[in-house]
Amino acid sequence: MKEELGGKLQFELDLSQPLYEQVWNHVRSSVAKGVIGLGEKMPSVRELAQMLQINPNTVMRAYQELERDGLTETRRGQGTFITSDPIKVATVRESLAQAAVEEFLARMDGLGFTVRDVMQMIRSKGGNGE
Amino acid sequence: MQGSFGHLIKQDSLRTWWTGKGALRSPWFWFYTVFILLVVVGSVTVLSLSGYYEPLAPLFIAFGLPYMAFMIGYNLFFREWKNGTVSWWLTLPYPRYRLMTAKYLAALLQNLLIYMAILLATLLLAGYSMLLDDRYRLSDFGAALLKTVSWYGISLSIVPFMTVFGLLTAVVMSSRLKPLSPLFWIGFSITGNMATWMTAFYTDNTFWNQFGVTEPGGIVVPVWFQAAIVPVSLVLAALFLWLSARIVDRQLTM
Amino acid sequence: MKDVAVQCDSLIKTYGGKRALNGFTLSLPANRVTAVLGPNGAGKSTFFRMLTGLTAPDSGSVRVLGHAPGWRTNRQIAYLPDRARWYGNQTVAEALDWGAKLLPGFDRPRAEQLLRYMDLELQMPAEGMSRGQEARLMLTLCIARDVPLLVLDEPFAGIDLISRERIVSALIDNMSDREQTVLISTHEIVETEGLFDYAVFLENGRVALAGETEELRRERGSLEMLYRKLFG
Repeated sequence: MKEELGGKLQFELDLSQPLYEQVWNHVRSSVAKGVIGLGEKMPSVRELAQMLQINPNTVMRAYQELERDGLTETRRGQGTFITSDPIKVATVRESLAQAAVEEFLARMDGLGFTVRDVMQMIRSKGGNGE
Repeated sequence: MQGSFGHLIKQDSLRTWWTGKGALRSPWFWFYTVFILLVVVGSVTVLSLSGYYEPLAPLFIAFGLPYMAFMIGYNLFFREWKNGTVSWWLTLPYPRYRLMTAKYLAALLQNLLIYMAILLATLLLAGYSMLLDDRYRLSDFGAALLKTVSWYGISLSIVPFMTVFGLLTAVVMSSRLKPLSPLFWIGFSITGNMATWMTAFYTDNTFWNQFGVTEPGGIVVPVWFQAAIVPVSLVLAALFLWLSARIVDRQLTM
Repeated sequence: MKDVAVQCDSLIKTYGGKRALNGFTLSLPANRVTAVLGPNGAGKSTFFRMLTGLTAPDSGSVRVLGHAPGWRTNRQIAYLPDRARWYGNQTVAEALDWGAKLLPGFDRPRAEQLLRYMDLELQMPAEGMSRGQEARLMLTLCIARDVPLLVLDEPFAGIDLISRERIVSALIDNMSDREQTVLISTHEIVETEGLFDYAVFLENGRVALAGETEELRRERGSLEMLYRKLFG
């Protein structure tokens, strides 16, 4: 069980970016995608640090951010759990989506496309649309 | 810490002889020991039976032993460098004089044990040859025993000094004072031989004969020398030990 | 500024005309894992030897855990010397005795636990060990000590992949278990850089750059890239 979740959280770190952000983002998107279920137990800081071969302080910092997001909660003596509140997950999912869209639009803007161009492109990609 | 000093001494005691690269673990050591033993016992047997053997001939070994004492002190320090363990040893959380004193005592202990072993072997050999040679009787063995013990006693009296001298020489060799080391090696060749030249100096000297023990062989060691050498050796040992601890503390090239 | 574990000011150290440290000034935060990086001869080992009182600077001042280095401060420092060997005449069990008898803060049950993890047996003699086994033994002796400062000079040099991974894992566990200032010098940057939360780059006996690794990554990329940029 634990191992299974560990496996889900295993990922390649990019050593040229801050590591705690990567851990934080990886857990957030895993929860948003539903790879990690509501109420599931997170690996301990030590376990995740071992899994990724990184400093436990880095993992700790990511866990603190997750807790601040409301995405995880620490139960005394039991460890850290993903929230069982679907609304909180939805909120995080929403904000991740927002961030992705903003990033995407900024990129397109950089290439000289207006929002309208972008809309058109998306429509053509989606075939006959929604 | 409790027992730390004892443990430091134990580290460098005789156990190093039969652990790791210790000589006693090498089959060659045993091969040569047995070989030499056979040759010695064989020739003593033949010579004694034909009446040509002088039972106290091996006594000259006693005057070579101070050199050995020096080398044991020297090696005990140098081994830490040679084996790449010196940084473990010198970062132990104890004052350097304590580390050095432990080394010194371990070397001294080794020397004492070797002296005892060689003394015993000499006596056994003397007794054995006297048994075979009908010129000797029991009273002769008593006299031989006394003489052997006194010779070894004289030789041993400079061992506290020779041991620390070896230690100090090794320390100087590994320090910024290394240019001084030729002086130490000259000192080594002179002092190591001290027992010999002290006795040789007084050979057949009728003036000193009244103060000392005269032997038919003509070698005399004056009583005052026997009495003085021990405290002098100990005082010099303390001084040199202090010096070596100081050099280790301030002058090592690391 | 948080607690300072190590403070060096304008250190100069000359070996036979060559300056090993040349105006070396550095302040290291406590309870962090610091990488000490730089080409050979940059002064890493000299710096570590100064922290443990093995050598003294020609001029300048060193404070380690608030005191001048010496045998007293060594009670609180676990130090793995560079190119160190273990006493060939000891078995693993005797090495643990050595630690328990001579090193303050040595936690024997913990050491035995570590040994199992490091895949070493109590009756193994140090003589005849592989480089990797010997390195694992020496590291065990260092991290079995409950002391505020751990200094490892090239713990990964010349050892096999499996030994290195075990040592890295043992270090991570150790970091999880206790608040400790850790200094590690290494050339294996790519394999170990996740361990560090602070990094110091040395060049020609002085500090070329020092900072939080996460900040350095954000601003300038991985430690390896930074190393190449600084010394390449």
